[in-house]
Amino acid sequence: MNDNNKIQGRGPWLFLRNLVIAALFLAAFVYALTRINLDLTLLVKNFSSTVKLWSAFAKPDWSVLGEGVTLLIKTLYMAFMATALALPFAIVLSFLGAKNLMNSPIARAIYTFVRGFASIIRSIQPIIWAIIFVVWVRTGPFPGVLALWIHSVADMTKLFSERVESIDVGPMEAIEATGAGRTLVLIYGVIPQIINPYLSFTLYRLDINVRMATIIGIVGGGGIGMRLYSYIRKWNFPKAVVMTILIIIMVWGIDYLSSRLRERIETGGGEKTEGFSI
Amino acid sequence: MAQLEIKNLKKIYPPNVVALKDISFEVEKGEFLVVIGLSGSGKSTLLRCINRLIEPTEGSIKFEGREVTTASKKELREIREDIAMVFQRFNLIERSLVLTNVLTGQLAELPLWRSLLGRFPKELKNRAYERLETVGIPEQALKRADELSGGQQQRVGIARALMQDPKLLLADEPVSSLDPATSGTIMDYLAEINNQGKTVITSLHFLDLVRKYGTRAIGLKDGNIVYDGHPKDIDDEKFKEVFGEEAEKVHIT
Repeated sequence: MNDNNKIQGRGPWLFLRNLVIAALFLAAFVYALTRINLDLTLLVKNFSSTVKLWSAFAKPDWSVLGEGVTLLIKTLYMAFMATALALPFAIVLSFLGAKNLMNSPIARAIYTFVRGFASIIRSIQPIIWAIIFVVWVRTGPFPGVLALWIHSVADMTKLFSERVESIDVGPMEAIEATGAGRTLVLIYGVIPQIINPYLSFTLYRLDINVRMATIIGIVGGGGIGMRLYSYIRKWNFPKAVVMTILIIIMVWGIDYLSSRLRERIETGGGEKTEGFSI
Repeated sequence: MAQLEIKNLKKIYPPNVVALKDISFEVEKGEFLVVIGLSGSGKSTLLRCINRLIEPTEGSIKFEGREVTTASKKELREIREDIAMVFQRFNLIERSLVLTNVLTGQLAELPLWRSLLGRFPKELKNRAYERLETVGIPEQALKRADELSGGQQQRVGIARALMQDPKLLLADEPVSSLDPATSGTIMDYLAEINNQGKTVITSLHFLDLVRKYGTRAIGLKDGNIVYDGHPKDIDDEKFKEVFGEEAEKVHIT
């Protein structure tokens, strides 16, 4: 009875609170509308100027196909290189950034630093990193790779660390109890539990990097994205369309491949383990 | 000199949870000592203090004359090589082969490069197979550990412990995750190991198992020893003292 009264007593207040929240959202929306010029008539009025763009899809200029494919491969290299170079850094940092492995006061300080640093770097989008590196080392694939690399290191460190934090400590204490040292505990107690998730995250990140590599080109990070943007700026839509089609094929292909591979890894690697793999 | 001498052992988990208050007892070589008590009475803590998986707060633990509590990292590793452990949740590396799991019992004695590469010498592999034969599952050697049933996984745990050729076997609630029939089989293996002269210290919940297998029982309650004697001498009154007034006497036959 008592509880019932309490709930009934709170009912009107809850309703009022929700009403206030809803009203605030509405007010914010209306205010935002007045601050931004949402002139929907422009969409209709200026439609004619896009005709050139749409018609380009009907007659792409295939003369740039060879050039496009070369750039596409270059873009893949960029993504692959950034991911591959990020992996060793992320592996090492992920152990330093795992709370359950970092117990002593000094270790805890390192943990806080690693995770804090990773969050800050991660919160800055790859395209912003690309702008920074383009300013730093000039345009081309190099700043693009650097931008993807730094964001990948931070992102993978976070994902990997969280994985390490969720491992089962049972096998670790069992190995420790046999008289094995820290290295062996890590190799036999920790690594078998994380190797597949690490692989899976790395593939996922490669997938992201392929997509990001094209976007980064727009700010001067090299690859096919950079060429696409230069054709758009020159209003050369038939050539831009070829680049767009190539990007769509690549992104779709990598997305498909990566998800298929990850599926296999996550379901336990398919075939049974042979020999003495750990 | 007793094989294991524990004096004034105390464990406080930060900030102030007292798990063991003032524990002193000795264990002779060849004993089958069963630690009984309710969940939270300090059984697991006591067993894990012996091989220092948990750091004791105060007191002394001497194993074969060597002080465990103040041992250096290297000394501790040497001591641990003589003390094997079996766990309630088996603690196997689930994704690895059964044989690999058994071989991990021997890691400490291998050169590091072999352990790192997983290159185990032939005679060690043969020994691992022998240990699996001892626990009756040699045919499971090349399966992944997580494909096995609970009882089979615990046998792998025992085989791994035997791989160490230990002088003392600690078994922390080795049958608590198993059904009664499987529990009997696992306890039989522990008894067999004990018959070969190895000391066994285990924690159990069921009085029938304690009476059947133990040569001695220690009752823990709130971090204190409230009983120390032969399992057959635990009468209803003693039972209530260990498990509390409200505890029903549990019989599994």
